[in-house]
Amino acid sequence: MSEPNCVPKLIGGDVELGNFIVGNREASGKTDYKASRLLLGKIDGLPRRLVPTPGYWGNGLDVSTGWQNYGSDYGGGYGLHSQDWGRKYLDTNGGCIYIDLNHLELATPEVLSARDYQAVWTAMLRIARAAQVAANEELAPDGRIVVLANNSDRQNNSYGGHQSFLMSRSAWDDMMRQRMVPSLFCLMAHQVSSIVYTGQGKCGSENGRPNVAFQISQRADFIETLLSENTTVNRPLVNTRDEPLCGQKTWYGGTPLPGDRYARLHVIFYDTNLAPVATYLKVGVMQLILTMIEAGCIDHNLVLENPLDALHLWSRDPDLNVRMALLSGQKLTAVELQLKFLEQAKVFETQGRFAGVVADAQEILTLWEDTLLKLHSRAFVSLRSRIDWIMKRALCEQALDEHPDWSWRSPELTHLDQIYASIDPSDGLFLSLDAAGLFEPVATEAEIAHFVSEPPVSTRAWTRAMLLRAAGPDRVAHVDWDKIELKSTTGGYLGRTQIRLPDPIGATRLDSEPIFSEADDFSSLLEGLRRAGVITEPQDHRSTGSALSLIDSYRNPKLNQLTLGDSHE
Amino acid sequence: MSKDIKQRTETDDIKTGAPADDAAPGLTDTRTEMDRLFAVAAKSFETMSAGSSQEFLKSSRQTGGQ
Repeated sequence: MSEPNCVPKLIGGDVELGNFIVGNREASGKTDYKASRLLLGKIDGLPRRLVPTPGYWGNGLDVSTGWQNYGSDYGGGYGLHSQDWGRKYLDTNGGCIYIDLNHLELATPEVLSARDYQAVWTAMLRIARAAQVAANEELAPDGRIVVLANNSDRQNNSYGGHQSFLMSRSAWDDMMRQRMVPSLFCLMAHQVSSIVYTGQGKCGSENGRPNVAFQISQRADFIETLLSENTTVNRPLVNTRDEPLCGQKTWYGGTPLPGDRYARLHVIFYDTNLAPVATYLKVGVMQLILTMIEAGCIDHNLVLENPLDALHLWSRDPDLNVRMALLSGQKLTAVELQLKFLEQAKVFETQGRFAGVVADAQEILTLWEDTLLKLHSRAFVSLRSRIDWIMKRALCEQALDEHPDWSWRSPELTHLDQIYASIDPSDGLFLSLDAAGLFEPVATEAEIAHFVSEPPVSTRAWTRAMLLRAAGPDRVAHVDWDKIELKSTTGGYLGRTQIRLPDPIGATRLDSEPIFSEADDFSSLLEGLRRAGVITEPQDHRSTGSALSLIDSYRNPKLNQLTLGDSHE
Repeated sequence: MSKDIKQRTETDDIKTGAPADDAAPGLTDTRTEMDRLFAVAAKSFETMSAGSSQEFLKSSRQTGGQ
């Protein structure tokens, strides 16, 4: 029996990577523009707008300028100056990859468990690594593309590793629109104190913050306000972007649609993690906390007096001694505050209330508790295998011991700090340490390898990936998380068909596989999926094919934007 | 999964050899583990010099993202 008012805590990630070129003597200034486009050019996805195939989609991507000739399909230049560019959905695992502000961005397919998230995140990094190898072959001998799974260039520029969590619309509205301040501030208190296991760690400070030798969180310096829709400037602790990616809402009453029931909490706060346990706990514990918020069972005393001050001070406290005040007047360290949240979650679990909402809740709790107790006793040695910042700090301190001429401000230390997150095994410190067995695994190698080529089975990602495979590149005009648009036989906008996948926890393999197995051809497959209710029709019109609906879409700029543009994660 | 994590959390200190002084504040080490860590990372350290690191950092400037 699921907790009333709670929805399964679906997880997705959209993570920007650092990408640049070293050893290119001709390059002056930033190389991220060129690097990101070279990388994306090596990703195979749909629609294939960016695959440089001369003579079909146009003349392909000019990687020196980034200029793409799309031929007649979109007209020259569509999307060239948008922040979010060249999105390609993967018919392998159902995720997508694109460029966001000159960063290659990896968006995982939707998963239901923290374990699957850790597996699919690692799989996405392997897909990016394969693109890096291919792009470097093309680039040689004019330098080498470096790709970093981190969150800042140590030169005051940050890029995000975001997660999305499915919430009930009512809980999201209560928290964000009705300003249920206690719940919102509990969420902030959880996020801020959880850096003790989610930080990747970095040397020094950025963004005008006071100098420090080493700090726990890479993002802390860039979090400047409590609540906002912004993601690129004045970044908030809690992002209020309301974009469920669950299809339409009901227009004039009627049966509630997924778009009415669901909301998506877009979390821009966290560091990108490489350590499997840190990745697992980051999303798994958030699933638990959000469930308790949805159920109205979070202790409203766990609110920090000043969450931003707490974040900035705790990030600069790798010995975990600093106490910050709660509104109640009590003063706690970050670990002590986390232990309070843990205590509540354990009670919730003993009542069986995570059932059907959070997969593997007991396992998350066990690992969370064990990690917190070790943090509480400063058992840092045994936590190197679980927590990125602790491993990185140990490496930096050892490097300083071995090189007395280096200091925390030396370029060598910053270099070391950066290449911890390189996805190239020839220089990536995390990868080297992981290959030597120095990080505790969560997902198995088989689970990770599976997600390189196959989608999650328990979300709509399965049907999305299989439909993209069945349709093939010649049929697919446009893809988004909740819809696929098929080309007309003439190739223009007229006659396009929309396939809608509004329910993120629907259209699973269980729902769809029998229909895929029985269908004789693509038309009968679509018909079968429609009859079974796996895919749905647009509410306003059956397809985008009628001249009337096309005209309507152009009259409505918002609708037009939604149809033609890509969603931002 | 559950077995993996349960066994790991129960035996973690034994497996990693977390010493008694591990409870003290700060990053106290067992020499053996640190040597092993550093051996893995040594290749990267050895190739570093102020010049090469400065060149790397100069190249690594990024556009601010989300």
